[in-house]
Amino acid sequence: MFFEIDVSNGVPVYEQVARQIKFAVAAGSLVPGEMIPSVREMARELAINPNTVARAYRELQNEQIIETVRGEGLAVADRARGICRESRQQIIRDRLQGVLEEAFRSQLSADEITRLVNQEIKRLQSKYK
Amino acid sequence: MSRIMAMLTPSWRVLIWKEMRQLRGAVFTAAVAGLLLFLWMFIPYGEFSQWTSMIRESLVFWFLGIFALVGFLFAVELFAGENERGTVGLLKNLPIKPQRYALGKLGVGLVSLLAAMLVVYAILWFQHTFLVRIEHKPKFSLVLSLSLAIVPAVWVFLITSVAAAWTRNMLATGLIALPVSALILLWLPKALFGILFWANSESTFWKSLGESFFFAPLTDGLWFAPAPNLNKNGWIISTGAWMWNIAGWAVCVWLVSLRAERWISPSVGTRHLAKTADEITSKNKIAKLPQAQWKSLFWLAARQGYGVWVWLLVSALSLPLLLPTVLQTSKLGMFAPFYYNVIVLSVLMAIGSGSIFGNEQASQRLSYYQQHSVSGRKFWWSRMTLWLGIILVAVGATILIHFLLLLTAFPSFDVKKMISSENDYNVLGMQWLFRRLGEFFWLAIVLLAVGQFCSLVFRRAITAVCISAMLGLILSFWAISIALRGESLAWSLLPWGLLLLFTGWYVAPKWLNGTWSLRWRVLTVTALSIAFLIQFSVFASKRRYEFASPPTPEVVRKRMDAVSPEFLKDFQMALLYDDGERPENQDESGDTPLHQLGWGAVDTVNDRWSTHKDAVLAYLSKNRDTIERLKTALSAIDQRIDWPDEGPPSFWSALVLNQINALDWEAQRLLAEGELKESLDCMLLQTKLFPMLSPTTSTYVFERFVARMIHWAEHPDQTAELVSEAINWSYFEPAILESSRLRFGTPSAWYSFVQKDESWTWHKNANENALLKFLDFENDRRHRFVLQETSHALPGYLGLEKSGILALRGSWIPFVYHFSTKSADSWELADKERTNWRNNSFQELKKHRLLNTVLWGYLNTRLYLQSQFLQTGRFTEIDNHQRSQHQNMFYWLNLTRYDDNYYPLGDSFEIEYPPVSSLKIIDSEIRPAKQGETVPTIPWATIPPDTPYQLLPFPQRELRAQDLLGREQQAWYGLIDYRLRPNRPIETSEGAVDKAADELDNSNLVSPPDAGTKTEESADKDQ
Amino acid sequence: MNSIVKIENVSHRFGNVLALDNLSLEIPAGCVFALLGENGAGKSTTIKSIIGDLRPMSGSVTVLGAPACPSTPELRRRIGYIPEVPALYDWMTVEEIGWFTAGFYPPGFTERYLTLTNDFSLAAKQKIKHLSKGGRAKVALALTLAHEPELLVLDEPTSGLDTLVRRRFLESMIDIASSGRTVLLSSHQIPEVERVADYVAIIHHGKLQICGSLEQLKAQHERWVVSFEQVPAAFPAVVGEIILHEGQGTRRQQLLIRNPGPDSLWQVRDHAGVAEVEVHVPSLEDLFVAYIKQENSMATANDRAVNQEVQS
Repeated sequence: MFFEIDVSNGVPVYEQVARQIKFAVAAGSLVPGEMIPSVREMARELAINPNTVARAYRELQNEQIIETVRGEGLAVADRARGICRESRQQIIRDRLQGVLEEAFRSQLSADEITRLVNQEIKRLQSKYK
Repeated sequence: MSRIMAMLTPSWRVLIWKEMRQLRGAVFTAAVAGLLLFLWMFIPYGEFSQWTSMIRESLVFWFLGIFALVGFLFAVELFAGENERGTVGLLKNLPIKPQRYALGKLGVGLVSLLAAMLVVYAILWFQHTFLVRIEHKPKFSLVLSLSLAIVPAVWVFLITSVAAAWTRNMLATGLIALPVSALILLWLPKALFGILFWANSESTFWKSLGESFFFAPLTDGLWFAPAPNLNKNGWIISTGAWMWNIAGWAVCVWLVSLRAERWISPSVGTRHLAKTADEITSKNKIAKLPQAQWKSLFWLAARQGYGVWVWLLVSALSLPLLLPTVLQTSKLGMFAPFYYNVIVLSVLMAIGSGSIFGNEQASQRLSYYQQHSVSGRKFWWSRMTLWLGIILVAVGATILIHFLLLLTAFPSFDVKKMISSENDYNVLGMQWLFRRLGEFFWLAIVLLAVGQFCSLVFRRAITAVCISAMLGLILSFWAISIALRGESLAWSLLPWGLLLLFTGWYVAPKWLNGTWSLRWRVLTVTALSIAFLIQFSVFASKRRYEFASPPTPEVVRKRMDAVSPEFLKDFQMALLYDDGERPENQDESGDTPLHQLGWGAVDTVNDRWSTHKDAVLAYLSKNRDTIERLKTALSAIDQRIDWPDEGPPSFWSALVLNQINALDWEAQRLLAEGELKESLDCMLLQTKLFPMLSPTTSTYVFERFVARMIHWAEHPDQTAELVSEAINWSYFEPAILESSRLRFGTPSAWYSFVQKDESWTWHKNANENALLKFLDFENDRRHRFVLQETSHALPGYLGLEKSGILALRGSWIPFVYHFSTKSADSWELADKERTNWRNNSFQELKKHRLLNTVLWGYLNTRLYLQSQFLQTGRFTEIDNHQRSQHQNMFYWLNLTRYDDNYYPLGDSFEIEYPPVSSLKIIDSEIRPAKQGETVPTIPWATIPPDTPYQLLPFPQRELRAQDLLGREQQAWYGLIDYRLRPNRPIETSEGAVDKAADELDNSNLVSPPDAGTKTEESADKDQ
Repeated sequence: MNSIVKIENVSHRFGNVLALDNLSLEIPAGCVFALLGENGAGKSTTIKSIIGDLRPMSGSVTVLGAPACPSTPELRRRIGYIPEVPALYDWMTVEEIGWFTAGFYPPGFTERYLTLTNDFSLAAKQKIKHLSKGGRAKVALALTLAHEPELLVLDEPTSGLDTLVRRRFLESMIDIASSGRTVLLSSHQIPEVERVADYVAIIHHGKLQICGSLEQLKAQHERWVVSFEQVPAAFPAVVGEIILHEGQGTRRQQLLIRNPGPDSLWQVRDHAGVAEVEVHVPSLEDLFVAYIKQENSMATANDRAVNQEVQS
């Protein structure tokens, strides 16, 4: 699945796995009904502990993003996309929170911050056109 | 084979496969070494037809040595090899009990060893002429030789396995295993049994058994293999021997499996390989290496080698102490064990030096040295100088200990005399010996050279050590034979050793830097091997000794005529008969004219001989220079001469005996050329070497010496004088002299030797029963039977290709004929040969040589008839078992055969073997006489009418005897003694011979031609 | 928990050196257990005592319910061990060593071995002495995996290996963990361990510094970077166990704290003179370095205390 895992950045690994699956579902690269790799395969591919992967899957199952298909394994649930999108939003919001807080504490004014944000958006928009 | 493998459980299957595959390298090494050894044995001895009996009979020793070393090699490879390769860790992880693979290794090793031996023997089976034959059963001797060689090989293999499993260190293994093997194989059983038997000193059986264990040499078949030709007592002994063997082997196997667990852990191998430069630095403190290379290198060599030093010194010092001298009563046997020790020591030294550089490669330290720019040459020098020091100390210590033991063995030995005076006869032999001992310093240096070279050439330390050990064995054999030839080891071996040292020094930097490629290694080894072979062939191709013809009567007459006054002045001999001045020495019959007869028909002979004797005495006490000359002559004598077939019982005695024979031939040749003085000196010099023989051999040799003296002196008194002088100069065990058959003489006078005060003198016994007394073998029985048993039991030494006809034993011109059956597989062939000889050559001989010599002083002869094969007068195959029971007698006529001519050889070597009944000679047959049968003369052995002498039978006597092993010998001990009596006058002046003949006729010791009477008397006795 | 390996109060000396100092560990079943420590810390000794190579001078080691030493063939069959430099018969080919080893295990070994060597792209007829270090490691791994051990013990398995081979090893470890078996791993490669380990134990000077699940350990510890306006005279009090405190006497200091109190962060932040406090989840490397340094400084302090005692 070509996810990127950074074991030492402070974010729990299972969290990183779950997050990336959610993003993939949200972005549409994983469609509902598609099979995801088994715990073992995923662990092998990412070279991480299978328990970690299992934990990530458990969470995803709890959030009803993936579900077991009898006899075949795990697949993306039907309504996963919506959930993931929401999740995605929440995740990004969390991250924005962190950045903005940092910006405020470094005593940038609100205007400055807004200006920065808009500049960045403009730049990214032209990049991803 | 695969089916057998398939039957085993998988784990056994894979273990056996692995061990066999791993052993391939060792097998290859063993094959190469074995091939080298064979080449070495064959090359010096030229065409196979000239193969000397000595080597042939001692072939079993070569096998013993090779296979023992092969056993050693296999054990080292199997156990220490795992450690060296670093695979012990792998074995440790496998889910099986360690005992299992330890036992698997033992099994594979033993099977490979046996397979290797069987291959060798299979090859030799078809070339059995190279082997000794026991009697008439060549293939039986093959089997016996095989079993003789197997047992030591298995012992060495097992002992080495134990050592390897317990020390885990290849070098320590080698240095422990070999001395321990030598101890267990050579000395321990003898010591144990000997002590045990001597403790029961009341019983002669035990006592004599104990003695036989000491006096019999190593390869006594009794010890290692059951000898089926022994009677029940022999079986007891060999069963005991086998129980010892099997018990010992079981103990070894148990020890190995006991240690199996501990052997595999800790994993020495992985530790070895994981050594990094840092680890080496911290452990060896070589951080200062670049700055002070010499100091560091010496320190390193000393630290790494100290274990080896300890082992080498301990071994070197302990070996002499294992000499049986401390246990043995016979001091003469000491020198043979010394040579055994030299061999073991040589192999040890080879092993030690084979590991000088090898371990560095194995531990992969070379890259470390390269990193620190260590100079290859300095590295080489640092180690070599240390090692040279070690070896010199070890060799010096050994020689010193031997010397000290020698002193205790010969209390009458005057050290001062030996060190100071070179010309004293008493010390001559010892000096010679010690010069030989000193030669072994050179051997040690050559072994060092060989070892260091092997350790540089071979990448694997084990291979280096084992090849070095094999070469050490070969070199030690070679060195000993060189030394005994009287040549200097320095000239023969040292140049090659120096070449090896130089090569090692030269390639050291390349070796260190790892740039000495395989190609160059092979090239170097090939070049050096060629150099070695060249030197070798030069050594081997030395001019063969040219056999000069012995003196014909004309020559002898000429020389007598040509005796110069100067020569006569030199020699003085008091004649007992001529001067009449010593009445106490006159024989009772006053047979002066009779004895005059012995000197031929020359008038002035009496005068000559009277001065002759004095001259001899004067010479012997004054003339030293000739001895010096002869010492040089000694070293120039070639070793290759035909051996008399009755070979000596001991391998080492064989080598010394060869030397003595060489002197003997030289003496004969000198005699033929008229060099009387030199001839005598040669003969006397032989006596210096007698102390180095084993007791049985020295008896035989001394007897022959006496016979020579008889020949040389041409007068019994002179002979007696010379012999007693010889006894006084050389060191002889009194027991030997007293019990040996040192008697000779005429029908009317018999000479023997007695010890008066400190010296020996001769005693002439002239009375009517002198002959009978002479034939009294009671005192000699032991020695005779020792010889007999030893000869029969040993496959290597039997040389009993005996068949022969009549033995005519001359009083003072002895000649006997012995024709060998080396080419004959069966006795029918031998019989044919005998018949041919009898029909053709004997007549010739009688005409030309035999009888002419008879003419020269032959007064009577004594005929010993001994045949081993006789039932019906034909030579037939006999069953070994039957042989002990009956009807066996030997008879021989001993001449040597060279270039199809026959020459007098010397005295006969008799083995008496009593027959059931007396011998009857009927027509052209010889067979045991039935009781009551008359025994006529032997027509075909009768000298033809134109000769003055005729054979007459002599009455038999009865003898009861018990041999060494307590076997009851037959009641009848038949001897037939034949005299020659004059048949017609000999043409000499003054009718002296006529007179003699008449006297013979009239003397009551000689019967008239009608032998029937006499025999009837004895025939009555039979009943 | 169900322990595969139980080490209780084990101590061992090599000559004068104390290799293990009253060590106690438990390795639960079905996990990947990593043993971290410097060279000479006692990792190899621990592993040797688990394998049965070593009988510790005191304490007991139980593996798979049986005492580790003496190691019986049955036990060895259930354990797979790969040493740092695997011992192999150089003269054998890849195929042959598999056949050889198969003789000691129940049937099925050979097929599994051949599958594995295929997966690892090893040529069957290649002699082992001609293989690279990575190739030899692969052979050792194949041999060990082929008999499906319940416990796989790896001593520095990937040191000196190239990336792809290293990856292979990791994948194998993961496979084993996936199938519910246990892996004991001793390594210097902390990032690798971090990816793959469930449990981590840090050993230093023969003593166990810390042991627990990686997740828990990370959750228990925090790494703070505290910036001061000026060099402080004293550091504000912190509730919690300070494992390591670096940069003392400067304006920017770093701490590794174990189980910080719920309010300690705010307390420090609000402390006078503190400009900023950054909080990070410590990486395994952070934890490792911190504990090692702590042990070192404690050891030095002990020596100093002893010296002072002696002097006074």
